[in-house]
Amino acid sequence: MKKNKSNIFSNEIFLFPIGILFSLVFLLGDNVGAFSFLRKGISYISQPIYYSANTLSREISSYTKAIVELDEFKKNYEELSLKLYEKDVENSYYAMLLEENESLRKQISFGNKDTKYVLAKTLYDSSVDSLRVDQGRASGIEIGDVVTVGNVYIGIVSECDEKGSLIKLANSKNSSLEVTLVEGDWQNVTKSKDLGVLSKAVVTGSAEGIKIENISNSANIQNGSLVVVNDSRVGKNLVLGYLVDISTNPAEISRTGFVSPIVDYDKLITVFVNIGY
Amino acid sequence: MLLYVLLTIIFFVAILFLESFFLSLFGLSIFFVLFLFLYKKIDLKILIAVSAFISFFFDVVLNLPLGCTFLSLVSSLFLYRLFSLFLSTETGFFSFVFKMLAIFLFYIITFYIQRIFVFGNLGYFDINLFVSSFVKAMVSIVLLLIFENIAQRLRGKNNGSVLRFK
Repeated sequence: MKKNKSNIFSNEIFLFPIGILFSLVFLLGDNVGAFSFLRKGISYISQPIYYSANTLSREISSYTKAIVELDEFKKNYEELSLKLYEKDVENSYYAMLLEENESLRKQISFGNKDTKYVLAKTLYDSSVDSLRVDQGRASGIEIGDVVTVGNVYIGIVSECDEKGSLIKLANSKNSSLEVTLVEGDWQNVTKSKDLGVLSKAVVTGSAEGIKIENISNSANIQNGSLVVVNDSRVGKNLVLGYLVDISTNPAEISRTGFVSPIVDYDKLITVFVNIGY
Repeated sequence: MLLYVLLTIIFFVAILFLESFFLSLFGLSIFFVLFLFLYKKIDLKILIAVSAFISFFFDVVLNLPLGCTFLSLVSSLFLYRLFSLFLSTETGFFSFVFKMLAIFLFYIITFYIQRIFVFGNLGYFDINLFVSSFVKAMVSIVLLLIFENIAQRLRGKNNGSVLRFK
């Protein structure tokens, strides 16, 4: 007769209470810290695997979320673009204010308290030899008034109405001025300063630019010399630009060249019209 | 022998990786689905022993007290075993209904066991827990179906419910 060996484990229904008891033992043991050694060992093996899986799932989740919320992103992008344009407009306004501030500082540092100036803003004009400004007779401007920015010569008012004026620049074909050539930095030139004159000359406007003529042959002139306006119709010690492309022909009676203006007329925003000269 | 050891290690790492991955991505437990799939296919003693071992790893990575996951597993399986006393849980439409119910209960039991042993209270009643557990159970049952189909194709129709490791 065969004896049937059976134990508690052969009947699977007993596995459940044993399993529950087993897990309760571990739960209670872990609560009192009896299995901390086991935790450390298991953590050493399983934590890197868990971390990699978790990182991968988070990346997939964020990528999927981005695709799902594409519409939202598009809306946000359009809103941000609009805000950027608004900021650009604001920025341009502040840039203009900054430019005006700098022009005023240059004008004040010029230090001429006897003369009255009108602050004017340039208006768009496609012409290369004239400037339009937003101030006219109503502000006291008249034809023939000199326009400057600090100690830099800009031009002369050639036309004028109640609300605006047209300024003839130094490179205009009708422009003709008496100038002197000096050495030094243009920022040091002031009305009262006595400048060491190297030579006298005449500047005229042309299609090629501001032409300078009648420079004395004997004068020690070279490219980079400062050209300063000294004309009774315009004023004294107003910087025009630097001498460039001076002629080197020894047979000439006098020398010629061109003047590179200090300021870029296209980028001018604020100018000052001298209404007291 | 070496091959078995290697396969065991690979299987273990894969289970850990997949469980962590799906848990953090969808809140879905692949482990219990696999457990249900292997129930009645391999010796229950071996299944429970291996599950206990693996569940300790899950408890550690999820910062739960040791035994939490295993307790949920055994409790859910016990309830599933009780269902089998009334209707067949191996074949037919109701087999999947009971399996879905077992998975649903697994999520509920897991939540409350964690709350008791971590926070010391049952928390507040939230219908979202039951809704999310139901949805997860439905997705899990689809996965289980896929596993069953794959197993059937591998083993053939006659002995599709039994797996033998040669």
